[in-house]
Amino acid sequence: MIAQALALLLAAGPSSAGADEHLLVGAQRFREGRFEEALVEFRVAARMGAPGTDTYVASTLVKLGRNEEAVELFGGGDSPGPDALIDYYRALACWGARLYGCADRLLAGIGDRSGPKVSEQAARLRAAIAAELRRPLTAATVDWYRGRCEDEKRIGRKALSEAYCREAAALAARRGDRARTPGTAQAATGGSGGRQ
Amino acid sequence: MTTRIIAAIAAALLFAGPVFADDKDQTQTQTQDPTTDEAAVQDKTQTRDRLHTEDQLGTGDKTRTRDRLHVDAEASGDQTRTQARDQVRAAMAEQAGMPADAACLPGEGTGDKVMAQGQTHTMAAERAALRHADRKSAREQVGEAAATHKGTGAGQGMMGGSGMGSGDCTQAAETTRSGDMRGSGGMMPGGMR
Repeated sequence: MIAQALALLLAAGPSSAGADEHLLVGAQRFREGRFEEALVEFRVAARMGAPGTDTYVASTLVKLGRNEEAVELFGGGDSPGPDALIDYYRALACWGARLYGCADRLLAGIGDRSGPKVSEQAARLRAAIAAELRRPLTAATVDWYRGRCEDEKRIGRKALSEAYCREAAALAARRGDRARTPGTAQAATGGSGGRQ
Repeated sequence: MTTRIIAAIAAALLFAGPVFADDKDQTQTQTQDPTTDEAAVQDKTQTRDRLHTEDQLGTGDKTRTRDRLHVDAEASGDQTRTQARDQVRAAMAEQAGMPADAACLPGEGTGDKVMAQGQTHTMAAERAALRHADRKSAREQVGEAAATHKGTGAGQGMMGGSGMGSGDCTQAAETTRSGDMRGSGGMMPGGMR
């Protein structure tokens, strides 16, 4: 009986159990602020087939300041997902990549879906974005986003590229020079679905 | 003489009796044999049926037990998985802080430089993490389960330079910075509150 049970436990998925173990260690490292180590644990868990681990990897990348990678891994979208906490990390990734429009939309979607701490922080970040966006926009700013859009497209980070294109299009529209943004309007309307 | 004849007949009868009796027994045995065989067959059939039934029941039990164990194992796996994800979520909630850098639209060039620096670090750190992950996976695959949980090295996740907000940020960003956000601009691991 015991042998059968052991065999079945093994058959139930040793890799899955191993992946869970890595998730647990990753969670511990994340909690301790040891994000490099947490990242490795989450990546190993992902490679061992643990589903939905990408968001953990991306969130850890945010904590490491590797926001562009995080945006790419999150999928680059700015539509709120089912999990407000993940959305908060997505917003932080956008913020870190200077995708303030993306960050603002994600933060707006959090509302009171999250706990009071995250909701309060989201409100403060939105206020900061609003203040920054009240500045007169320069052509250099819009060009910077267009440049980033092209650069990221060249190196194959499609989601990030599209996010920059959308941001460029939105800022150009805000400046009133929509006519100068060929190709970005299309990006602004498409491909905004984020990974969740 | 008569006496001898009588004695001979008596003796003959005495010897013949058992022979007849044996014949009778043999006949009876032969008569009974089919019955016995049938009974034996029936017994065997019944026994076989019973054993078969028992086997079936036993197999059913075993199957049920196996199924139950499998379900238990799955439930246990699900539970572990759920626990692991709950732990990750709890850690994420605990560490969900504010960004270290202020909101600052890129303008006259500083953004590119900072982003380029960030990319360099990004690529190096990515390579290191993947190397480590590969090594770790390989160790696990060969059964060396006692993998150490060492990191890839201190500081690889840092974004160098003076930070995004050093050059071209506006007063709005400065106000934000002096209020709730740290102004160093450097994004270190754990650099969020």
